Amino acid sequence: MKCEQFKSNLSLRVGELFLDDEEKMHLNSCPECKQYYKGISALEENLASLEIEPMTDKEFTNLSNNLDSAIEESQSKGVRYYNMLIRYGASLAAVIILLFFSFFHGFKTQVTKPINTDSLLTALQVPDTTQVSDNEQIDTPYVNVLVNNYVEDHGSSSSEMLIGDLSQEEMEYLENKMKAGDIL
Amino acid sequence: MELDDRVLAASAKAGDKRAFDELVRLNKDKMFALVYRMTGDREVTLDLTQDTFFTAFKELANFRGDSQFSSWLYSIASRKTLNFLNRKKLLSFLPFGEKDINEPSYTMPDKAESAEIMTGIRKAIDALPPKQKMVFNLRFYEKLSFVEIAEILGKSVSTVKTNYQKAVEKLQAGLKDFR
Repeated sequence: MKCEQFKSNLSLRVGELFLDDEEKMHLNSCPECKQYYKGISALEENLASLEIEPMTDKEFTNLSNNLDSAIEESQSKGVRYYNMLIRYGASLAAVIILLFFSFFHGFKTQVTKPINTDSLLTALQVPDTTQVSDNEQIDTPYVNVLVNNYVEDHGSSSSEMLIGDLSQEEMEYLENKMKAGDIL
Repeated sequence: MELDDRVLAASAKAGDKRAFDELVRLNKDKMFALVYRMTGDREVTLDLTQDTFFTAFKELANFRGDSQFSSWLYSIASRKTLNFLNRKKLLSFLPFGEKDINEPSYTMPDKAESAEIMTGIRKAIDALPPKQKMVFNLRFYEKLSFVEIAEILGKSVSTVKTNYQKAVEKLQAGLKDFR
C-alpha cells in the first residue's frame, strides 16, 4: 500500500476512524504514516470534544409557539383566499361567460350571419327584389298608401317625390314600382 | 426511528398537526446543531430552524417518503443556511454590511489537550468555506453517510468526499499551527 492511499483512506474516516488489515501492516512499517495516524486521531478526538450547547427548553417553547403562529397565519391566509374565491369566483365567472358569449354573438350577427332578404320580403308581402337589411323593416301598408296618394294627387310620371319620411329602402321600393310601371 | 419518521410524516401529510409537532420535537436538536455549527449565532440559528420547520410544513406534499424525514429536513436546513451565509458574505462587502464573524459557543471540554489547540481548531473550522464546512458537519457531527450527504446537498458522492478530505486537511493544518 502506498502512503498516499493510506492517508486518503484515513482522511475520509475521520469521525469513525478504523484500520483494515492491510492498513495496519502499512502503519507498522511506515513511520511517516504512523505520525499521520497520530495526528488524525488527535484531530478526531479534539473535534469530538467540541460540543455545542443544545437548544434549551425555553428556546424550544418559543420556537414552537412562533412556528404555530406562522402556520396558523398561513392557514388562515389560505382560508381567506379560498373564501374570497368562493364568494366572488361565481360572479366573476358569470361576468366572463356573459362577456364571452355577448362578444361572439355580436360578432356573428354583424359579420357572419347573412341577411335573408327573401324571407323578409316574403314575410312583408313585398313582391319585388328590394334589398333591405334585417334591422329595418318596410312599412308596406304605409308605402302602399303613399303610393296610392301619390298616384291620385299627381297622376303623372314625375320622378320627384316629396316624401321626406321614407327610408332609403322605401324610396328604392317606390322607384322599383315606378320602373316596373306600377306607378305612372 | 426511521419507520416512525415516515409514519408520522404520512400522518402529517394527511393533516394531522400533532404528528407534525412530534416530527418537530424529534428533529429539533439535529437541525439546531447543524445550523448553529454553521452560523455560530444562536438567534439566527433559532430563526433558521423555525423557518426550516415552517417550510417543511408548507411543502409536506413534496415529501415523497423515499428518504428519511430527517434527511429531507437536513436538505431544507442546509439550503437555508448556505443561502444565509452567502447573503451575509455579499453584505459584508458593502460599507454598511456586517463584518463580525460569529462562532458557536462550545461547551469547554475536559479532555481537550489545551485551550490553545481548541482555539486553533475552532478557528480552522470557522475558516472553512461554507460548503466544505457543511459537508464536514453533516459527516462528522451528524454522522451521515457520504451517499446521504450527496443526496441532501444535490452533489455527487465523489464531490462530497473531496470536500470532506479538503476540510480535514485544513483542520489538520490548523491543529499543527498550535502544537
